Amino acid sequence: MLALFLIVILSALIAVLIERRLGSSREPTHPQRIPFLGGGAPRTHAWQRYHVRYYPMTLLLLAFEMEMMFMYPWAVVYVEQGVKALSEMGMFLAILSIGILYGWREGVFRWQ
Amino acid sequence: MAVAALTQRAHHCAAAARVPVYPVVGVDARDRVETLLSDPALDSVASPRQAAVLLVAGALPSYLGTDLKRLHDQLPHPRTTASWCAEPPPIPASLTLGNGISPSDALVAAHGELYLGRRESESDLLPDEPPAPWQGVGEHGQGGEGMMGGKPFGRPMAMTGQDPRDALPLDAVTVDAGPFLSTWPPGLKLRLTLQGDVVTEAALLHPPFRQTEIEAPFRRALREPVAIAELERARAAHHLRALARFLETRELRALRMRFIRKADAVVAGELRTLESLRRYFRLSGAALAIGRGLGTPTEGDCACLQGPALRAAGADRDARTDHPVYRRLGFRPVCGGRGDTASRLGQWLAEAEQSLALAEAAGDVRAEFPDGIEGPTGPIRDAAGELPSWDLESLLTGLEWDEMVAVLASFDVAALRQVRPAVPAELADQGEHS
Repeated sequence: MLALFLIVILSALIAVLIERRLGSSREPTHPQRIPFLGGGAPRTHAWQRYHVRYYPMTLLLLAFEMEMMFMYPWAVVYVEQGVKALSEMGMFLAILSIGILYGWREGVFRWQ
Repeated sequence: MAVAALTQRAHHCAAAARVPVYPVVGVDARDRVETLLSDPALDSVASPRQAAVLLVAGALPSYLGTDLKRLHDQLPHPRTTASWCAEPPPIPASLTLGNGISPSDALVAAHGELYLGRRESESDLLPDEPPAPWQGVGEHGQGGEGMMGGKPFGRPMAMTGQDPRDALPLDAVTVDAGPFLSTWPPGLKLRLTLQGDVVTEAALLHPPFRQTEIEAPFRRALREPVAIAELERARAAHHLRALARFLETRELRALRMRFIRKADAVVAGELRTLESLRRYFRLSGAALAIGRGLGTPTEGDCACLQGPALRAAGADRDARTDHPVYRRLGFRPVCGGRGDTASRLGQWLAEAEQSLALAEAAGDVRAEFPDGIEGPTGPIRDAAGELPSWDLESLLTGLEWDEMVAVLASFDVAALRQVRPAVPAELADQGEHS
């Protein structure tokens, strides 16, 4: 196991060393670094601030994270318990997925 | 030594690969570039960062020279420029296509030479200076260091602006999205203010270039009798290519190739119906994915449009209704109704089917159109009058980037050339940095 790990690391290292020889040794010039706009130029900085969107993110946290929290202990025992445990978790997920569907339609997953 | 051999091997593999070409399309060159890049040995890429060859086709105005130089310098080394136009392009091209050898063979050969070291990579055309040097002190003597000190690197910071969709004021970035974007009509330059990927303002700086290659048989018909079948097949091919361009924006490349090949088959007279194309288009879900009512111009703007865009908005104006030959063939204009993006696309498909049916029914009938003819994008007359202009900004405000690309792809170039320019051309150049 450890030997496999070491082999993977060493081969990645060798690949990086080869790629340095293959790649261009020139640093990109200023005209090469201009962002691609089809020939146009930017007029403001690209540094932008994004809104945290507390409410939609809390909704998503509840829908996914709390569901995960409850699935952790369930995952340990559900193989022994069988179909009953599966159906109970299925009902739980169905109720949570109604919340996800509501969020989806409200634009929670849209990039702002 | 082993590394050198591996490097040599890698270069040989690169030389044998498909040629990544970034096309820059000028006036009346779009159809031939599309046909050339459907060659399996060439690969039309979406960004110059992936390209090795910059293909400049068609006439380009000299005032777009700086923009073209900027685009040229964004290609990574090794790179070369190929020119496929009658006059020399605004930038020096080390390869000229169209001199005996087929263009795709010339491009493949040049690409091979680039990677095997026999052809030099082109150097930068713009000077190697930062486009906007540090200006730490502001206009009123304020600032000095940090993000809010004056104009760091000469460009203003993106300030907050109103969001048109909800009331969250976020930072708005202003860019001049340039004349040679791959998913846009070639030549279109817009000054966009974006919040994330939502367009909050759009101003037209330069209209798209004229693309009238397909109009040749229609212009001939103004002077001499031309077979109706030829005209209608050219119209159907134009509409199918327009749909193929829309499919390219949705990244449905296989379906796009199918549409282009069927368009060529239509012109050659080998295709009778578009049943299979319509079924593939419906099954791909391309038109379903566009929301209803996307990109509907206002009433006044709809009245300025012509051709299929006007008919998709519900008006049944078509110059073919008044012509005796078409009346004998039982021609009725196809009317869309809603005037949004999906209905314009459906209009193209329906008119292509109608054109094929007319071509079948017409047989060998020839006709002349001295008073003007309905071309694929609108009426064509000898005396081209001044067309009314309409407003694109109100159409694009509030759309996300890919919705905007879909709306722009649903209009003909002729319709977009009627858009009112917002900023005079000379002001646009002054305000630019670099």
